[in-house]
Amino acid sequence: MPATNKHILYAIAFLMGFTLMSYEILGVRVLSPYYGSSIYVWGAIISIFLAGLAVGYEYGGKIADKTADLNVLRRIIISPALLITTFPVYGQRLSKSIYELELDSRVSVLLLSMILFFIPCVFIGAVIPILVKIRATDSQRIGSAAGDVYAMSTAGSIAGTLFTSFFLISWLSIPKCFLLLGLVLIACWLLCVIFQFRRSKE
Amino acid sequence: MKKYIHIAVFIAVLSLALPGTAQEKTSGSNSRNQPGFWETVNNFFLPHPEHREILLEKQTLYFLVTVEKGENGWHHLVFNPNHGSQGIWNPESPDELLSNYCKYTTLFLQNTDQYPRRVLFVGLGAGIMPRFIRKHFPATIIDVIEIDGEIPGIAEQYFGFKKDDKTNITIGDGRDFINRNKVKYDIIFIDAYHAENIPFQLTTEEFYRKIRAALTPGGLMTANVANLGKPKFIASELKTVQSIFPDLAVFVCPGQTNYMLFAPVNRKFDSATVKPKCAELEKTSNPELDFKAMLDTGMKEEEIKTMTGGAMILKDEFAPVETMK
Repeated sequence: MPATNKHILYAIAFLMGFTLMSYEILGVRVLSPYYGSSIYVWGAIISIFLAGLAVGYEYGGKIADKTADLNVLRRIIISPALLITTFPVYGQRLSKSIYELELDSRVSVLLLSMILFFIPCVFIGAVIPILVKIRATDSQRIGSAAGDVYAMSTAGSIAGTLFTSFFLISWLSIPKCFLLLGLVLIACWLLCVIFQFRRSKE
Repeated sequence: MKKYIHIAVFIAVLSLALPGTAQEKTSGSNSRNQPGFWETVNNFFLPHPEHREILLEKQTLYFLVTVEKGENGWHHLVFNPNHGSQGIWNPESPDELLSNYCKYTTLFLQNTDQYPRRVLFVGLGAGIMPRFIRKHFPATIIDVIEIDGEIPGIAEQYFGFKKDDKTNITIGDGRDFINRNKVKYDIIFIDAYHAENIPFQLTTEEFYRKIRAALTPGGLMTANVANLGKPKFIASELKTVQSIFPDLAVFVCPGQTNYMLFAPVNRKFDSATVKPKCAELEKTSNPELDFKAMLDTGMKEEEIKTMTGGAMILKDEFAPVETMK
């Protein structure tokens, strides 16, 4: 098998990191009209995102040990891509129905973040170990493979945080922001499809 | 490589040590008679109109709160350094309203014919206005929603605010509170925007619709919109409030420091004549109050129209308040 283009892997790592943090900032914006923007809202969202990532890393690692190629990546990426693109359809309704249960604010915001954000984060987290495995298999240098993938994904996270909070939120309404993020993930998915196709031709 | 690490460590230590020396001057003693190095530098760049004694310095969940005592003995509540006072109180004359925005808030009396049974404060601050309500309306139930749990204690200790059995304080976000609210208020006072931080969920059409729903038919909302050098934000805010409260009246504090919004539910705000109640208050309790002068600063309908002409209505799904200039 020929090696997978490393720039594609890094691009996917970057875009995944970008989407993750952008999604998190938008998440706060979605919940604030219900719960406000107190420190509890931030705390709840950040912890749910981290929980999703942790579970994702775990499962991603297991999957990577079995098979790690662009085909697997493609299948993982499509789920958060669809979930985030369609967020405007279900986000408001779910938020409203959970909020109206009138639970304690902290319990309620944790529960709602869990329902809205946990699953996409699991998928986004699962991508990372697979990228590491593909790169490490190609280059035979596990340390720098892991380092490079994490560096690119974190660079993407920084870009996603800054771009969303400084610009995106002042340019587009929240539903459009979600649509845009979904398109970013669909672009990742397309990258996987195109380069898998090219490799199989080679 | 090692050499660079040494240099990096040296710079890191230096940067820790320098602010450290700057801290000492304030935390050690109350008075700042001997300015330290950084204070001298600060004084050079930043104007310090008066020498203030630090009574309290407290890092809360949301702010670095300081209580400062000016040369004239007035207490100032400061949320973040160099962003003005959130509240001013004179212990020598506890019922006097000192800040312009508090004086202007008393314009609510123009629109209050009946004794208010229940009022809500979104944002407590120094608790000056709740104290005013209690003094003039002893039987009114006062509800307060304040995000920072440390503020009520500070208001009681340094600003003469008194919590009694007809005062209920809830700690939380104003939006969450009003979403869950089930009672009706005669007056809702909103003072929740502070320096550099405007919670967008308290600026939107949806928020003001909930506020309106929480008011009695003769009720009134007043909001203090500080002019943070963001004319676009103020224009959008006026337009948003006006879309829910068509009878909105706006008064501009001297120097355009604050825009005071008065939004009655179902009648025009009377800014033509000073009501007897206000005239009486002017004479008796607060010599500094001048209702005629305050009413004269009201924006005319056309002025509001011109200002809000190109402005947008803020909505939950699109309220870019942080970047509006």
